[in-house]
Amino acid sequence: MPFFMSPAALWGLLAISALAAVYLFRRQARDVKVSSLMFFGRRQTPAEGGRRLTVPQTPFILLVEIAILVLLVLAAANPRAITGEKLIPVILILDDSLSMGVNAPDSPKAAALKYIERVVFAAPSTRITMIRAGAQPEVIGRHDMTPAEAATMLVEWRCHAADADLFKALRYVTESFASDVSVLVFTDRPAEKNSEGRMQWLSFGRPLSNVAVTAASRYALGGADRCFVEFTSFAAEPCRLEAEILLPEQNRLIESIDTMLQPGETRRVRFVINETALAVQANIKNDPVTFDNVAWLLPIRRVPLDVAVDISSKLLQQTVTRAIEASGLAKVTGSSSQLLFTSRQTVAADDSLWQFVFKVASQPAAFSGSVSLDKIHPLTAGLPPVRAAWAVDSAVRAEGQVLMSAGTVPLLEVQGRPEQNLTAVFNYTPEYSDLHKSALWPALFYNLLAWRQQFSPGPAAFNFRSGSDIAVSLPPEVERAEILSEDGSSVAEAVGWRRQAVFPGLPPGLYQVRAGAASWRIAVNLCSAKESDLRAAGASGLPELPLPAETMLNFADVRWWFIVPALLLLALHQFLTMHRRSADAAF
Amino acid sequence: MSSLKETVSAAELAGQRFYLNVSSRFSGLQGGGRFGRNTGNSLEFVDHREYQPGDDVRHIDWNAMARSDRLTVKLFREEVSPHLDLLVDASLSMQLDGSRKREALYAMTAILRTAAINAGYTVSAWIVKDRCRRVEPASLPIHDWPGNDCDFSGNIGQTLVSFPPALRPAGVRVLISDLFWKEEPQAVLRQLSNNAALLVIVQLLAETDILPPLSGNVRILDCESGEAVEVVAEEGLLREYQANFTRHQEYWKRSCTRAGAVFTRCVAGSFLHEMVPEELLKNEILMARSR
Repeated sequence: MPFFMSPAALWGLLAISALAAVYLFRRQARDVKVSSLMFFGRRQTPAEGGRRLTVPQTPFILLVEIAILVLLVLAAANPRAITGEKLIPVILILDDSLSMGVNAPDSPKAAALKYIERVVFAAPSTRITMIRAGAQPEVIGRHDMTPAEAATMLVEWRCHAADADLFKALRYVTESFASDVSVLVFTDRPAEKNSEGRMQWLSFGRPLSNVAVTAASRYALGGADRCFVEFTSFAAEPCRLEAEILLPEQNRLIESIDTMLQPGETRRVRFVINETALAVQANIKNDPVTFDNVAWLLPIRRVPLDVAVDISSKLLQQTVTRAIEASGLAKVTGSSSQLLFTSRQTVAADDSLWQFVFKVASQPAAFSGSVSLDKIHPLTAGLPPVRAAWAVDSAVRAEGQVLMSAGTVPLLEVQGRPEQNLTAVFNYTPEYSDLHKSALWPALFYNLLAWRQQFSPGPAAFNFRSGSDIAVSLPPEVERAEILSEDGSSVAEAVGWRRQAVFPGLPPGLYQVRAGAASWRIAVNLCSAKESDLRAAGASGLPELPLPAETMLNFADVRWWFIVPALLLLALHQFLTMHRRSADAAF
Repeated sequence: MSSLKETVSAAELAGQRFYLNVSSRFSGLQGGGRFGRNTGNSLEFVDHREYQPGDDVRHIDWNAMARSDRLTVKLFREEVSPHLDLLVDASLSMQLDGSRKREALYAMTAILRTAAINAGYTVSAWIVKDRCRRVEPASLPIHDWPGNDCDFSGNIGQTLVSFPPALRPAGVRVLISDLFWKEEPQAVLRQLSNNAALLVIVQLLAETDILPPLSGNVRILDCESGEAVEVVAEEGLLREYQANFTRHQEYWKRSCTRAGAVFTRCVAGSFLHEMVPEELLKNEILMARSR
C-alpha cells in the first residue's frame, strides 16, 4: 500500500469529473431525421424485427482516459511504498580527553558508560557507530555494529587524549554519514551546541577546582638545557600552590614553589640545567585532582651523527666541515655509515647510508638570477632567498626530485628514499661561486643533518603531549616496536612501515620504547589548560530515550508503478482512437 | 394546409403552360376522341408519301400511281383516347421534417394533372399507402383529396406489388415517389408497366436526401421506422452515403430502361422555386404549349 508524499495532488482527481462532463456534452448527439437509413452502410437488423435503437453506451475510451488520469494523478502525489525495515543508525561521539576519566570511579566516563549501557544498548533495532573524539576523530571497531559488538569495543574508549575536538568529530559525521542518523555526543563539557534535529549533546561530570601543570618544555642551548614549566590555577577561589621541580635520578631539588594563586593565575618557572642527560620532573603536591599534577622533561639530545667528508676541492672541504660542526648535530669522522659528503661519482652504498654528492664542473656556467625552491621539502624548508653567484655544470640533467633549479638546470635534487640510501646531488662549483659565504649555506646543511637524524633509530622526540602520535624510526632489520610502561608491562605494539612505527596517543607518564635490541625513554605530558579547566564541567539533563523506539521504515519511490501503466494505456488509447476513426469511416 | 393549397394553386397555374405529350404508343389501337400527333386510322387525310414495305396496302393511292407510275400511300391522322394514372407516394418519408417534399409532391401532381387535361387526357389519381386508394373524383382540389397526408410508415414498393391499383390499359402512368424502399424495382416496374402505354417514374427528393446535413456526433433517425443510429459524422460516412444513394438511383435507372419506363428526377426545393419539371420536359413527357 503506497503512501503519498504530496497528497494535495490527489485533488487532481477532480479532473475526472471535468473529463466526464466533457464526454457527456460531447456525446450529446444531435438528432437528424432522414428519409431512410438504408444508405448508411450495412446495418444489422434485429432478428425479432421492429424498431432498432442504438443506445449510446459509455465508451471504452472514456474508461481508458479516466484510468490514465487516475494513474497520472497518483504518480503526481509522489507515492512511496514500504520496502522493508531498517535499523536505526546511531553514532556515539565519545569525548576521548583525559578529563573524562577524572575522579574515578565517579568519573564522567563511568557515568556515560552507565548511560550507554542502560539507554543506548537497550534500544531495540539500533546499529551503532562509535567515534572516539581526540585530536582527530577515529572510528572504534567498525561502522554499524550491533549493541553487543559495540559493548565489547567500548574498552577502546581510553580517554588518553590531551584534547578532544568534538566539532571535528561532528564535521566528520556530517560529511560521512547520512542525514537521518541519530548522533549522541558524550562529554564532560557543557553543551556548546544546542541539541537540534537528531543530535543530542549529553554532558556528564561536575565542576572541580584544579591546579595543573599546563606547559613544560626543554630545549638544548649549547652545553646546557633550558627548561620551562607553567602552573595554572583553575580553582573558583584563591588557592595555594605547593610544587617542586627536581632531578629524580639524583634526587636533587631544583626549585620548590609555595605560593597563592588567584583563580586563572599562572606561575611560570624557567631554569637551566647542565645535566643534559638527566630527566626533570615537575610535581604539584597539594592538588587532589591528580591527572595533571606531574610533568616529565626527559633529555632531548640525540646521539650526534657520524659524518664523513670526502671532497677533492679544498675550499669545499673546509666550508662543508665548518657548516657540519656549526650545526651541533653531527661530528666528522673518517668513515661513516650514516652520511657521506663527496665530490666523486655516486657509489653503491649501504642500506642506510646517505650521500651528498657535489657536481663540480670543469667548465662551469655562473649566474646570479632567481632560483626555484621547493619550500615544503624538509631539505629546503625555511631556506633564505638565494643572493649569491652560483657556478654550475649546465650539462647536468635531473634524475630525481628537483628541489632547487635555475631554468632547466637542476641545482639540488634528491634520489632514492630517505629511509634507505638517499642521495642528494648538489650542482655547485665553489671556485666561481660565493653561495658558501651566504646565510643559505649553514641552513641547508642544518636541514640535511636534522632530516638525516630523524631517520636515525629512535623516537621522533622524547617529550610528547598526551594524545599525539608517537613515531619511532626503527633500526635496520627491525620490523616492529613496542612501548612498555614504567613497570615493564607492554602498553602498545606497532609494526613498522618504511622503517617507521607509529603509536597512537598515550596517557601521561613515562614509557620505554623498544625496537629490537635498542630502547629509548619517552615522556608523555598532558599540559593542556583546556583539559585541566574543570570549572565548567557539568551534567546536562539526560533524556530517557533519545532514540526512536521503533525501527525505521524503508520507503521506495514507486511513481513508476503508475507512470508505466499510464504510458501503456496511452498507447492503447492512441490505438483505439485510430481504430475508431477507421471504423467510422467504414460505417 | 394553407401552404399546400397555395403551392398547389401555383402549380396548377404553372401547369397551364404545359401539355402532356400524346404518345405514339396509342397508334394502332381503337379510335378515340382526340387526334394524335402521328398518322393513324382516322378519316382525316394528312399527306401522301412513297410506299414503304409494311405499309397497309389499303392506303395505296391507286389514282396517284396511275398518274405517276409510282406507289404512293395516303396518310391519315391518328385518333387517340389518352388516360393518365397518377400514383402518389404518401409515405412518411415524403413528409420529411425540414423539407418541402410533400408540397413538391402535390405540386408535381397538380402540374401533371393540369398538363394532362390540357392534352385531352382523362386523369385518375391514386394515393399509395398500405393500399392504393383511388381519388374520386380526381378533379377534386388536391388539397382536399382524402388521405393526402403522408403518414404511411410501411413499404410503398410492397404495396404496389402486393396490392396493385386497377389501372386503365394503354394509359400513361406516372409514379411520384422518393423510391426509398427496399422492394426490387423490377417487380414494381413490371406491375406498373403491364398494359401501359407509357410508364414514367418521377423520383422526388429533398436536398437533404442527396446530401444529409450531418456533422459531428449525430443520432440519425429514420423518419419512417423510427430506427436510430448514433454515429460520428465524418467525411467517410458521407462518402459512403452518397455512394449508396447513387448506386440505388442508378439501379432504378437501369431497371426503368429495361422495363421501357422513363426515369426522371426532381429536387423539391429547386422545383418549387421555378415550378418547371425540367427532366419531364427534357424527356418530352411534358411539352410547352404555344401561346
